[in-house]
Amino acid sequence: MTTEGFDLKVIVSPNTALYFIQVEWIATISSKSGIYILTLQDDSNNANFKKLSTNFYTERPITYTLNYPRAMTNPGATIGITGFRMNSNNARISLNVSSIEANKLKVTAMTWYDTALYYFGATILVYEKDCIQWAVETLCLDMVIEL
Amino acid sequence: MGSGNLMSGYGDRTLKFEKSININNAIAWTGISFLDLIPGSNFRFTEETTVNGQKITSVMKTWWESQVYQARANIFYTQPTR
Repeated sequence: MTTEGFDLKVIVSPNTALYFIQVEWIATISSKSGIYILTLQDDSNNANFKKLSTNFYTERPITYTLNYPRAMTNPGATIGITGFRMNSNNARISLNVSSIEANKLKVTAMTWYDTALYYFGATILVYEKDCIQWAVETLCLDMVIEL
Repeated sequence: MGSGNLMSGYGDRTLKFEKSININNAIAWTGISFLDLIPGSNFRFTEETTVNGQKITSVMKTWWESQVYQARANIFYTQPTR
């Protein structure tokens, strides 16, 4: 990344054909904007992560603690998935910011039922609520399936 | 909560969310945070957010035989210059 732009690297897992990508990106000077960008990724090489690719038919959460680059006064955060690798007829993944403190936050990643999750990546935006004019909306789709 | 259908059918299916905001031409970033879907032969799901004046629009989309049961996306927006 430079002050002029950045390179974007797209990684495709083996035996996967990728036909289309779409990327939304945000660039900021954190010291001026009060917006900090954190990244998180983990995979089944981590012993703690293995339950996400095994232990089927239960909800399988795993929680991570991330420190900010500097302490914040009144921080807010939001999260987006940047990638995953899983094996199932039904893809199931959930990521959320489960707690926010002045100098750190917690992210909970989860899959459930018979989905085997082998990898995920995420971007987290942390911002000073008192420093910027900001808002976070959440768009939800919840389908009720009648059998 | 948006309106639309991402569950059944074979054509393009969309779920649209619109909101008026009090920032002109805000910068918006969006991230998918929850997915529960049956991909079918190919995994097909997009989520795109656009800003026009003081309106923010976000559209989730799937197509062909992919079936989306639940999806969630976070939309962060702020003023463009500081």
